[in-house]
Amino acid sequence: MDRAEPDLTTLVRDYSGLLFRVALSVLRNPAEAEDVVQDAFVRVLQRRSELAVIVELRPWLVRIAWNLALDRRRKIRPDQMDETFASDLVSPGLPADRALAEAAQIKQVFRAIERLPTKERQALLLSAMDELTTAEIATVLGRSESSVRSLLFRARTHLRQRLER
Amino acid sequence: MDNNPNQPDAAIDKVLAALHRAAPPEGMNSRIAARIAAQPSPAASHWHQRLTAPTPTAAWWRGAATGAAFALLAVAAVLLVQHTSRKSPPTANVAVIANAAPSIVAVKATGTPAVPCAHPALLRAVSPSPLPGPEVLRAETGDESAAPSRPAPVLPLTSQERALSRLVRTADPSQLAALSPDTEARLEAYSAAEHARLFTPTPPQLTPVDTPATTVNQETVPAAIPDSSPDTSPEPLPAASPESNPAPSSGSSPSADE
Repeated sequence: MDRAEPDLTTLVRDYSGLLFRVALSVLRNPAEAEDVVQDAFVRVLQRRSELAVIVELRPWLVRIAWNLALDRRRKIRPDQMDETFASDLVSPGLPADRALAEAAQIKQVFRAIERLPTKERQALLLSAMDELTTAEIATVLGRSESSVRSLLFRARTHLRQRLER
Repeated sequence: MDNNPNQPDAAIDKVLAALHRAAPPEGMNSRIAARIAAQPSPAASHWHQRLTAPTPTAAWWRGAATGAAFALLAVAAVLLVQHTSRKSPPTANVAVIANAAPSIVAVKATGTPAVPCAHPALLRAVSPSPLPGPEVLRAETGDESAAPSRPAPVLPLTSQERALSRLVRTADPSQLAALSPDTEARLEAYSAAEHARLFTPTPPQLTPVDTPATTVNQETVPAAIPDSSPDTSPEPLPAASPESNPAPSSGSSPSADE
């Protein structure tokens, strides 16, 4: 039985932040991430008739934004990613020297993440979104839950090994 | 970096937490709303609106579409019935011997008179009746091979035979006589005798007492003529009856040709 069609304004209010973070984890550029969110909601508008029959709305929306972000990432060079992004992620209120050291550490972690296998990297980035459960991450990636757990474990292991060198 | 052994995990968690804490730019929702408002609403298709709208016109269109669908189904059913009725069983059972190379097609006639086939493709269709096995077919073909041979069919005449037949029908007796040396010799003797009888001066008339009447035999006249000279032998009289003419059947005397 068809449910009531959700309002698009409500969807934007409830899910725009999540979609922005998903896109930002891939693109590491706030402006590009916002464009991806807008494109995602335009896509939702075009497929508005399907909203009433979508069972899991959040993974469906995240998957749209995820695929759009991956498409956009192929069009931009890695050096186009915002260099100040690491500095923006530094915890506020730290002294300048500590802030610089933390920014350098974040850049190092991002470089290590970039060298991970694709599936491990994607699972790790999606796991950063606390709103997403393992089952939802599996839905977005099109894999099983156990596979996602295995990917997450291997991603952290590989990442740790590379950071310890 | 610090020498904390848990430092890599802490760095990873810090980055992931930073990604989770990332806040969208100010006014992003309003910009998204403006972008959505600028997009043309996905209008339903013209036919979808025409068929689903709760108006009398839409009801009429729904009825028209339903009627058209039923008409199409009826036409399809009629065509199907006609197509299947044309596929009646053919009048000949066609069996293909699969093991023979090249393939042999054995046609078993049903005894009905042969009529021109309106649909030759039907002859190529395999009959639904069960096909005889290879052993049966081999036995049938073996019987045919062992059967006594029939006489050869009558061949057409050769050119020489046709010319001879034409000559017999149309040629004159002298040409026909040329085919037989005996008949030709007799004809020549008869002609010479006729020539001698007509152009040799007649001797003075004798009294009927002195000249015994002689009868000329039809068969002896031509043979006696070459040996007798016109001067020494009495002139034979031709027979009055038509049977005395040696010509075969033409009815005209050989002297007439001369």
